[in-house]
Amino acid sequence: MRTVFNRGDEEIPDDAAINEVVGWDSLNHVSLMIELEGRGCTIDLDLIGELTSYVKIKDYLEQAGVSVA
Amino acid sequence: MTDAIPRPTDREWEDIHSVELSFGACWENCDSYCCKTNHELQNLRLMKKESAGMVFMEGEYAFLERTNRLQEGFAETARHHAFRFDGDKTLHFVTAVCDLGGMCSNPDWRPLICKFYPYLPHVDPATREIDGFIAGSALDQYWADLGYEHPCWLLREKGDLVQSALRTAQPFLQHPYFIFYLGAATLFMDRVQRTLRREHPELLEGDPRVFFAKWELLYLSGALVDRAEFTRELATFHRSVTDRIGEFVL
Repeated sequence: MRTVFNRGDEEIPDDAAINEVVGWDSLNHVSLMIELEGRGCTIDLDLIGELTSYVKIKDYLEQAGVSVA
Repeated sequence: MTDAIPRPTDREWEDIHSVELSFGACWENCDSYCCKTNHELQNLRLMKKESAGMVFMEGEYAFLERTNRLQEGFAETARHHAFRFDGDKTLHFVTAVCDLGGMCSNPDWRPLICKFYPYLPHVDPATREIDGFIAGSALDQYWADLGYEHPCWLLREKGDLVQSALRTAQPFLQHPYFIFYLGAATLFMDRVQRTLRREHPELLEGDPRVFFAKWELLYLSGALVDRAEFTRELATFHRSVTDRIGEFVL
């Protein structure tokens, strides 16, 4: 997320969500999903609309068993 | 070999921006529909509801930036995009998010996409005349299909007047740069619409909230534009401009 949004750790709090963090807009959200796919996640179209917060993404990655540093 | 025609000058940008395209307080009739994406029937999950996405020809953004005429917030959210086509050619455009909700910080210099709304003109490269108009927003192409009247009061009540006013801009849209970028927008919007109608016709027959939620995902993910086909169309259109007017800087 830091890379896609070009933000530091402190700018992406645990309660971060789309359109609430500078850089996390709709276009960058899709870029983030593409980045996750590139790291082994399966992201279908509906999931793009669901994974709209840091917590949701973190939970999804944990359930999927994907480790993303 | 002659030099390519340079990008429009500041004077040319000022000319096109000076065309009178103001139609009173139209926003009072629609709660600034075109400046937000919060319409009750648009169940969008990713686009910011109290905001609007801006698209600029890169030359326009650069002009507004260097002359300190950008609206508040544009510089912070601006993103430069480059789309390669026909080998070594690149279409440059800029997107930004407008959070002003209809309260422009610099109304005289609001983006052309806002001034032209609810339409975008298309200029025929052969005649250099405006030969048609497309919807001013990608979101606006389906209201009739969905069985709802267009939320833009200006389009509903004064659409012909707006198109007449836009035609007065024709003398200032002669530069191949303008013709090409407006044509590229037309090709893009047309392709989005055609793909949606061909591959997801069932969406247009159901609940608009479901339609817009799905459309948003399809649109943002790029699923509505076949990149290879769009690239070919863009190259063909580019050649039609250069054949008639000459090479120009993109």
